[in-house]
Amino acid sequence: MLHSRRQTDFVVGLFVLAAMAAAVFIALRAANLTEFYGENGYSVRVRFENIGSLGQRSPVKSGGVKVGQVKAISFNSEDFVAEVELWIDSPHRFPRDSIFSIVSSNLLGGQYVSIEAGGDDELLAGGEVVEGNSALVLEHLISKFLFDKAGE
Amino acid sequence: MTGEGGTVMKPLPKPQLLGKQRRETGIAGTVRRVGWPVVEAVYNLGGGLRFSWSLFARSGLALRRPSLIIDHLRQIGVGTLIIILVSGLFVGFVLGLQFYVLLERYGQVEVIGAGVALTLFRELGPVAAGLLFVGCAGTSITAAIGLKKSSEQIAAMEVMAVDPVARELSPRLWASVLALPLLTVYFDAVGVIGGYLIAVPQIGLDEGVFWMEMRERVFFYKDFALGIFKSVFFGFAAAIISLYEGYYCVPTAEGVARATTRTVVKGSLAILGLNFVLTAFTIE
Repeated sequence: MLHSRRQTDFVVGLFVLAAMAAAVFIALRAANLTEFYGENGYSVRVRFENIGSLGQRSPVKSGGVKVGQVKAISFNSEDFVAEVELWIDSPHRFPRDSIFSIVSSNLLGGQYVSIEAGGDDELLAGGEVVEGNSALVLEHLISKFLFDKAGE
Repeated sequence: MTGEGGTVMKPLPKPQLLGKQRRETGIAGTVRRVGWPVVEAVYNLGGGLRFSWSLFARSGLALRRPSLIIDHLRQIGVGTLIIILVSGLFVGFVLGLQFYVLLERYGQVEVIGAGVALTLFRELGPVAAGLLFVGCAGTSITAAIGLKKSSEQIAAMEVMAVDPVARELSPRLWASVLALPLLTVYFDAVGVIGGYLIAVPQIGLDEGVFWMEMRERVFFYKDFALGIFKSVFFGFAAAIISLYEGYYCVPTAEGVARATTRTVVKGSLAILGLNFVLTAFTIE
């Protein structure tokens, strides 16, 4: 052996330890480890006529600050509406008459759910179902614009 | 022969065809010349499978004595670290610059960090680290085993009833399988830092935006862990090919040289092919 056993063990140990540190760096800095939903939170079901390109894990923001994320999306085949389950972190409570709407963060996509707090004294509890404002779909906007023009 | 485990062990038979083909002319000769490499490739594949199986079956000794693996981990893992770190940094630099050129056309420079991290974690990290690993550690494995064979150390071990596969080959396999994922983690981390150095001090992107966009779009399990998962397979492929070429090389200086070249060729192609298959299977 070229090297003594103790030295080899030390060098290899350092190698493994630094790799772990690199993995921790990636987990904390570069990648989103919090794929699991925080334990402290509650879910609210919001019904939308159209969810646009909203997806699972899309952010839920209020006043531009992230307060939760989209947990699940399903289609209610009785009422023909989309049901979006939001997971909202527990420190954030919203009045019953808050407005839920789907907005775009930029022109290329990236939609999120925006909550505008209302003035009700009663707060939304977990598991409640509320109605939301649909996403703006570009095609609908264009056709509406064209019909308005044609009507003039 | 009885090994340290007390089990009866046979030396591995060399996969070879009977005799060299006579040089023939005419149609039959042409067909034979074309068919010969095919038959040989199939023969090598079968021999390779038998060889890999015995590597796994005889790794008991290495697993009972981890110091055997640790010794090789120093040579294979730590020895490759410098080239991994330097290339990772430069790959990160280049990715940062290229993503800047691309994203600037769409006015989306903020996602530069996410682009660098996704490219590195999902593809470039495991593949580039794997290719460097074959070139650096794989060749050293082939050369070491080939030299032990040409200087008849392997035969001497068999005479002393020490199983060379269990004592020399298997530990190298497991050291590679441990080392390559760790090296991939290094490559990923250093690459992200390279991308950061280009995007923030060089291009002038806001530091907070760089990290936030990256964290928002890159996932630990779906992206990073997937790349590490792939690199485990690359570790197996690189090690098995290097060991096979070394163990079955022609025991001369020329033979070892050829075997080393074959390790790089076959190992690189195996990693690229395997990467395609793994990506196709794991893509959503």
